[in-house]
Amino acid sequence: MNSLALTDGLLCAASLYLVQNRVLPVALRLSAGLLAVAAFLGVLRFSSLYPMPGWHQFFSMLGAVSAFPLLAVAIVWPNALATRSTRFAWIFMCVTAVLGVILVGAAQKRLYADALALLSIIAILVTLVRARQWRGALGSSVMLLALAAFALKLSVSTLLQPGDLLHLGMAFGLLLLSGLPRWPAADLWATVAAANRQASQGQPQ
Amino acid sequence: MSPILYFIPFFFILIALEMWVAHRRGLQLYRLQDTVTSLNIGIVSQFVNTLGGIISVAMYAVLVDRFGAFTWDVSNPLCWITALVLYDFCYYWVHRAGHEINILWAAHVVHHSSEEFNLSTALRQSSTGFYFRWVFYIPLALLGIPVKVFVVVGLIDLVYQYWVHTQLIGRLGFLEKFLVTPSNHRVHHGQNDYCIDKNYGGIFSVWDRLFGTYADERPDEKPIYGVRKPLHSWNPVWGNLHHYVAIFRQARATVGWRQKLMCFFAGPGWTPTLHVAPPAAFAREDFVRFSTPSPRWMRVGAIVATVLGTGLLLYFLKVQSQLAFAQRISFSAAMVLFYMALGWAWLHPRVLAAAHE
Repeated sequence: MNSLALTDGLLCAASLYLVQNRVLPVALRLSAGLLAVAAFLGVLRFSSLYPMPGWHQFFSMLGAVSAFPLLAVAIVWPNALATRSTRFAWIFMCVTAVLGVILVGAAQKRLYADALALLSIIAILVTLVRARQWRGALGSSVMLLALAAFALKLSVSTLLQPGDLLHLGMAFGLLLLSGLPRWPAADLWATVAAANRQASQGQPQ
Repeated sequence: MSPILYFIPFFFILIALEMWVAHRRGLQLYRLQDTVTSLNIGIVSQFVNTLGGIISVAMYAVLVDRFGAFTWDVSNPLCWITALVLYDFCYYWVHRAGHEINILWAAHVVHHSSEEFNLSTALRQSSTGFYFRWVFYIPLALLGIPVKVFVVVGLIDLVYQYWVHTQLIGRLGFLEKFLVTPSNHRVHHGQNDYCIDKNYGGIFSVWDRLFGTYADERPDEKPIYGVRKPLHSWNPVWGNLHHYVAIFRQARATVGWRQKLMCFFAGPGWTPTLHVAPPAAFAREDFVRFSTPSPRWMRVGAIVATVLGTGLLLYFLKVQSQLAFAQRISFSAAMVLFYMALGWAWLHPRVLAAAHE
């Protein structure tokens, strides 16, 4: 068991917390679900319990090309179809995932995944700063720093490897973004969710 | 050399056999225009898919190589059986998505556009499905199923589905419980209310039973074959493209980007005024088969064009591995253009007027 397994476990737990939180919009929960799968495979890989490095790489790639953009959509456009509708959140995730598989998985354009993840987090940060959502802005800043640390291969002494910083930063950022107590976005999403429920009850089945 | 080359003669022999048996039983299962269109659509799809198929298999090979988790022993029969079952499971979802997402239905609708149901209908394959099908087989690549096994089980799955496109075979007893049979596949091709979005399986019908999409053939209500928005054309290229055009037209006429997106990703029955569109009740008595006049010269022309196309296809499949990529594309494009021109000519008002005379 090494530090990467532990920090991936933390990321997995944080992501699962978001997945089970019914107040959050479906896009956010879906992107967290994808990150949870990647993190769980990371735990299996780095703990040597059942290492499947190919799967971990694959789902991490999907996280970068699909989960982060979906997360950005959920935060930048809280009323977007892909944020509120399960069907469209899935479609968004599938379309971005397919593009990612073609460009990164097959054509090996790694830059596409890095740039997409980076742009998504920057978009989240800018949106939250403009909306004066300081707690969320802090979360996205931490995510941005973690991503930068991973890209620059920074490590903290021998304790934390670049991957650890990425996992911890993402876990911390996700928890802050999820609207832990006192973060107004939770209220906003609760309102949106209530409106959705009302709308779906009014629709023909 | 393409393995499908070896199957083509058998396909034609079985079609001839089905025609002969139907004739002896006094059944009208074939109409010349429909059969010729099915064969021409099949020919066009083979020309296109020799290129599209390469892209799909290449993509699969890269993904297996990079992300495949397990090593499979190809000398073990269990490897092949497992791969076939898993392939069929993925096929179920490819097929289901092909029916329930409009932009994917645009690729698959051509297979359902025939208003007859016979062995030639099985050859009415899509030319545009290759762009999305490979996505559904990514799980097999992640499992590390070797490319060779993937291609062979894919071929088995495809060839199996040929024989289920017939009206001459009735129910098959206990086989109906777990296999795709002519009886339950007739339901899949029907446009009656009870047939819509049913029986998606390729070889095994257990997936339909598991996911609630299975329906038995009703002896009291025989399926009426075809689709609710009929093709009304004998043009094999238009058959492949008409629904894309319809979707783009609908999206252009729709207000608001959300509604525009729905045009592409909602179910085929969706219209901008309805969020959930229940399919309009099917009126059996209103159904009229598409037909145009077909004098002798037109029939002879259609047969000659199909025989010529089949010959050229067989030649192409035989020599394609020796051709440069540009030559393959040129050959395929020439054949597609030839059939497009032919299909256009057959429905040209002047030609139809001459046929009427």
